[in-house]
Amino acid sequence: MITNRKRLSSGLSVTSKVFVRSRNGNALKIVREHYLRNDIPCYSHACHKCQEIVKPDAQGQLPKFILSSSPTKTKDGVSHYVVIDTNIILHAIDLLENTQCFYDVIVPQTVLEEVRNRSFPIYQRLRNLVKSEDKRFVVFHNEYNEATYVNREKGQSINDRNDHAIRKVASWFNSHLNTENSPTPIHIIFICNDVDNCTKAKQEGIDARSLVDYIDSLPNGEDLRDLIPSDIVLPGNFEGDQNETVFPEYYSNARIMAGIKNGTLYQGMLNISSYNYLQGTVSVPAFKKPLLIIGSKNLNRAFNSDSVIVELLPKDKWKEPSSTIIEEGSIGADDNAGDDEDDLGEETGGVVSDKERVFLAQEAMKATSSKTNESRLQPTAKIVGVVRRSWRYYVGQIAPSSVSEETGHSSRSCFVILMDKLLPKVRIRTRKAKEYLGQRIVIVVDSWPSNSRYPNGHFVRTLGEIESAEAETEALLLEHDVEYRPFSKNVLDCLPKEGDNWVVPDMTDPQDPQLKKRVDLRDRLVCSIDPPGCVDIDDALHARVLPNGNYEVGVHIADVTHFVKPNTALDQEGASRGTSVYLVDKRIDMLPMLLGTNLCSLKPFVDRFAFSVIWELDENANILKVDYMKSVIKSRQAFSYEQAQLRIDDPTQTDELTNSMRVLLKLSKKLKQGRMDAGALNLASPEVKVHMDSETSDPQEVEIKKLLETNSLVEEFMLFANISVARKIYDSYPQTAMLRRHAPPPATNFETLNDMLNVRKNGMSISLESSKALADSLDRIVDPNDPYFNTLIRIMSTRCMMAAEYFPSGSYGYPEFRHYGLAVDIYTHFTSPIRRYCDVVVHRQLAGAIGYENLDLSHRDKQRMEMIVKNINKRHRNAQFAGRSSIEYYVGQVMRNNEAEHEGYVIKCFNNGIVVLVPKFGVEGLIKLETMGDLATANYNEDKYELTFTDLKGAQRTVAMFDKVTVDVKSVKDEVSGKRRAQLMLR
Amino acid sequence: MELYSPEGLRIDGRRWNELRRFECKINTHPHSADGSSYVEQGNTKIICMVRGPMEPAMKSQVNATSSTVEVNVSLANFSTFERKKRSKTDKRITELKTTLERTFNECIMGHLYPRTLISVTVQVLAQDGGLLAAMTNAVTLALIDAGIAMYDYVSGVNAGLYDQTSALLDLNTLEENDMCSLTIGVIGKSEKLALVVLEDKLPLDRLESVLAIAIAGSHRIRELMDMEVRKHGNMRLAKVSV
Amino acid sequence: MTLLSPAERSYLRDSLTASPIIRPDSRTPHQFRPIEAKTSFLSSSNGSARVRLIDGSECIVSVKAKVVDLASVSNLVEVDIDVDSFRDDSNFVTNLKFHILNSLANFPSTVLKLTTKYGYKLFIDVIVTSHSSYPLTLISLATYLALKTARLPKLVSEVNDEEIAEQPTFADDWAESTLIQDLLDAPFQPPVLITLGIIGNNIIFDPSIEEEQIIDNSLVIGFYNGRVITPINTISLSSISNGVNSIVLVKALELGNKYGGMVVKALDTLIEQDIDDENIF
Repeated sequence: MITNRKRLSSGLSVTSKVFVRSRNGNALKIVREHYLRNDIPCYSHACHKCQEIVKPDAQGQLPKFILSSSPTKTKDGVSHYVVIDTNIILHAIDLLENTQCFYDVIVPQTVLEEVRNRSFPIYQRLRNLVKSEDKRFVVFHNEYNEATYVNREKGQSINDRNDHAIRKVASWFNSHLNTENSPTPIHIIFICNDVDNCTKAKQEGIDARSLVDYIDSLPNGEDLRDLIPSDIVLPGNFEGDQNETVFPEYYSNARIMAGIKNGTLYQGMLNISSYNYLQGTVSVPAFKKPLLIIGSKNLNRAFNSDSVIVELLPKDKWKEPSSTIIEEGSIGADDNAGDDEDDLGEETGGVVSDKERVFLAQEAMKATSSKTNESRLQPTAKIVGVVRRSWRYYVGQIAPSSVSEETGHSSRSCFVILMDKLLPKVRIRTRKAKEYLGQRIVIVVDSWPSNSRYPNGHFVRTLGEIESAEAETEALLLEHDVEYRPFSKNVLDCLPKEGDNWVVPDMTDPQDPQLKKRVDLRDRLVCSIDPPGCVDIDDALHARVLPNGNYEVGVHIADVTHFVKPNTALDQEGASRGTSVYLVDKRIDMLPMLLGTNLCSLKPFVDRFAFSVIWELDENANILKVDYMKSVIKSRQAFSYEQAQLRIDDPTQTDELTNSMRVLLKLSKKLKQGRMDAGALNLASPEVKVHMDSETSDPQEVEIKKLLETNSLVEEFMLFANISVARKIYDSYPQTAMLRRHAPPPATNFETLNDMLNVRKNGMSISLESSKALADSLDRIVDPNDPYFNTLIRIMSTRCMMAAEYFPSGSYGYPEFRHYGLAVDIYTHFTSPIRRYCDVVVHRQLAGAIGYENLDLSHRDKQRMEMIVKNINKRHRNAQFAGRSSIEYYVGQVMRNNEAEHEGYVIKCFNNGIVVLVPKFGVEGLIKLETMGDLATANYNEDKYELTFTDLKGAQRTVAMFDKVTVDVKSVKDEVSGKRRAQLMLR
Repeated sequence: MELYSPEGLRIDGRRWNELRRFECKINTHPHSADGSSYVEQGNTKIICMVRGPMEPAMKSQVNATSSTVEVNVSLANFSTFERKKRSKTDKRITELKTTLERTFNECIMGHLYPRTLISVTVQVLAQDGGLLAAMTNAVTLALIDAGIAMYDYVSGVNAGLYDQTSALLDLNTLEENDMCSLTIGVIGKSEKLALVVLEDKLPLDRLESVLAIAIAGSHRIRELMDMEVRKHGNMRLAKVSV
Repeated sequence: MTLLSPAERSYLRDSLTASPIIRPDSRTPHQFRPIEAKTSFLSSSNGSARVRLIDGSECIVSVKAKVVDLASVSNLVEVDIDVDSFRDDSNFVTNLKFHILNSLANFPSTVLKLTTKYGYKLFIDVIVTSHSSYPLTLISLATYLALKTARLPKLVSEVNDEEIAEQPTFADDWAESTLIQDLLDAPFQPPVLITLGIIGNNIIFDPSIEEEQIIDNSLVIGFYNGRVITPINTISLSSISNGVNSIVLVKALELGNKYGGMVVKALDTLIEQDIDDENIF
């Protein structure tokens, strides 16, 4: 269809794009206007002509010309620009980001849009490359440029048309820069891996090369060879039988959408079991219990955390969840990287009609909602499609067994075992396999074709020797997706120019209208109580007796939002990081140190800006009045918990400051009692602190953190402040206030634990009627002979709880705001803006609520808030896991020096092993049956949670849930995975 | 799709300050109405017919000092990509109707036509953003064609604010759905506004920049409308003079 | 509504009952008024047409197709009419809708089936922006044009979805869409409705507004496949309503058969000669 072009008086011409959009089974005819113009510059410094045609943008700025007039040369000395194709970007984005190659790159608009449609994260990285300018990437809007616009021919597929458009860009640039427009001719190289496209390009006179050919033509090509992604290097050329389909193909899009619509297919996220890597579950709203996926064929190439489509299997394939431990290491340890072996798992049946599937679904629903436990039969399913991959950078090491002894320079396949044990091995090709042995390396997964036993990936970089502190720390951070690179120049430019010399301006004669709104609280006796050695002090307290006998109590929080303004690079970086991450020996800051440890930190003896909450409380800590204000304070002293405790307990100290601390302590006790009465939970998690040798930085000892009264003092007032602020911001911004909720645990989570308690501990149980009932029933679960038992049950209960999450207030009704664990009806995080982004948002909202400053629109927009909240929830989780991993690593190092006998408790029982928790280290380990006794004579009694076997000495032995046992604790390093872990042996 | 790329181009290829294709014709229905016009702003297409001044049908419409302007808005079921049946008492239609009535009551020299009714029918054939602005332009042209005395042209255009920083002129549907938009109707060549409608939230400090580009856009539209009116006038004149 | 004085009425009656008939605008008895038409100007509809008579009556028709589950709808063609200055639920509009829908009863719905489960449903929206004489013929002609020029997107997913359900997916290139004509083996000719006026023993085609006020009765006949078909209805367009003589009725049908084909031929020629410029005027 010839679309007409009309020329407008403004010099533009307009045509229309007509196409059919298939959505939800409907065919919608879409028509859009498409304007063509002549004022899009080539962005090259070498061009004279384009300087005259440029037009300013909405901010009045002219486009910047970025492409260099003397770009990089190939081995043959040819100065060139690169025009790049979509698939190169999608597969080799990290190569594009590499500083050793790819400068002066032109990205056609067609390519940019294709990348955006296929992978938004890669699109964002591409845009960042363009923005940063040091790699000299430009986006050329060829679709809007009259000279490069290409019409779709009748019968031409959209891909072919796009390819034509992309080739046109290359030829246009060629002719544009190689005529009178520029003094020195600049060669254009078009990089494309599609053979067909390359041929057509060459026919049109364009220098088209594949990625490999291009890299080879660069002076430093040799070094870069390894970084080229596997699929691109040898499409489908891995050794092995291509014809055999190891895994079933995924269903087509049309079939998946129809299946979801008529209820025969379901979508959910895959969770691989931590004890059995060949088994996973997918939670689907339609069924009360998650669906089981058993076997690698049914898992069908999905990774842990992928968003997948599942189809129920026929009833005869339904199984009980496996009570067997299976680790990846044991299976497939001897596979050759080159072969694609016969698969494991069963055949799935032939074509099943939709009617049968619907019937199956009904059966499954009945099975999952049955209240009784008579049959443990759970419906099983198979994966028939992957909606979104959770692939990211992975850390792992080369499996020594997969590296051949031959030397030589050709690329060989080898396996990389990932640190995350829930993921399969990945096959990569590299020339330097032997060199990388024993090192932690970073890889990216490219694809998992259905005829390959393992996924294919490529090497990115190496982190260093396994078990070296730097490599392990970096590996840990990468694995948990924590941004740890130093703050960029853009971000640091947002800090005050005075830097460390910044002081609070003169308050007596404020010129700045904002300063006038601050309250001067420097006369209050403020002090701070923090862990020893703390330099980023974000909270401080004060108390004084009022003339009417009531108490004035103030919580002062570092005024971070005075320095971190919305929509600045500093704010964006903080929002992206979401939280500071605390590792044993390192802290990854959310905001630059200048703020965290100096300008915002409420250091003693110096004036500082703060955001204060001041209450008037009576004897029993009831709120009579509450006020919020931006203030200036001067902390009198910075205490550690111990120092504060000593000072309060010392009767000889009677100065005003100490007395006010005693008042605070008294009131905090009242607050705590109030919370306990309301049903607040007191759950313990095995938190440990590692003592490092001050000279060698070697880990020496592990200590379980002790709690003093002063810990509780600070905690209570922080909670108190958080609750008050939550109420205030919800009042002002009912749709978008940043809050934190904790959903009550569903009864099913506690089912197993309660059953175990009932069977093994004579009818003890945890009540779930209310949080108060839960707290009280937990108090009652005591073993008179073992004081630790109660803590053990508390630890296990924590694991049954739902995670707390941040949310914007418009997402839920008021009853859902409840924080179950704290037993309050509304809650938020306000007291740590230096290390949490949620608090930064809350500060801004509170400032808006008290009329100090207009609230930025992004915190009033529900959709933006949803995005912020999603990110900080993710970052919070990752930070917790990273922190725990760090502790695990160092604990592992400590145990290396400290092999000994310790007490432990059985917290899980299988038919081929048990899991034991060692309270001293807060660490748990798996003990396999074969290390304890004879496999053949073992018997696992599921109903009684007992494992009976003949031990190594020949005696009959029974171990069961909650049993206290003695174990030998040793730290061992697994040769294959390079992971150090605790190895426990039953005594 | 990038609504406003860092390179300064929008999803249809225009820059921040460019109008869409504006085409208009007057006297399109010489036999069925006293004045008529047809306006296309981008893909928004509107037919407008004016009858009057005439005897009011209802006693309630008789105003002793001035004419009564009655506007009837009709959005065709097929005017959007997905067909949607609309009732005549739809809230949005009523709002548009009232807005137009108020605007033109002020702009028509009503005191010259007391006790009469001026009936305006606006028929929307296709919507692609800027609906109220295009309707305003269509009504202005139809009134001129009908020979009804007005103080000056009322030319309308909409403008929006992208990402709280960039003002964009003449938004289409995709852009309107994603950012706040302001519709204005400017009187002639001045900067006085006969019509201001804002349905979303706009930060106060940005209002001026959005208003400035909108007024500039309206002036340009007035020029284009005026050209068409004069062209039509010349054509009629040529037919008459023998 | 032009009111005629008694003198005018008598004059018109005399001339219309004369033999040979004298029509006020000097047309022959079977001559239609000239029409001006355009098609395919609504880019967001599958088909569109605009027809205008010299007395200013104008009608715009749009055809839009939607994919529906065949089991859940009873009819695959739906008509909606909006006449300026009439309420949607008035008799006038309802009658028009009834007639048009009736005339489309023979629509070859098989061409709308896509798979065993899904098919297209056509929504025909009519807007009469102004009218003087009874607009039924006008609407019918415009509908004919819109249907003949309507294009349906091409299905690319599985046609047989009995066992395994698939969501229908379509070719994204609009150039791959097909005219309804091309999906049928036989020529595609939607029926047209012609209005006849009966006065005494005389029959006139396409009565104008003055003529409508004088005639005894009028007849609406359908024309399809080269012959007159049902619906054949009498309607009274004025305050007079006398019966219809059976001889006159048969004569009217004969005339319909004789001249109906020309209308269809004229419309087809119009479609052929229409320039594809997407302008409405």
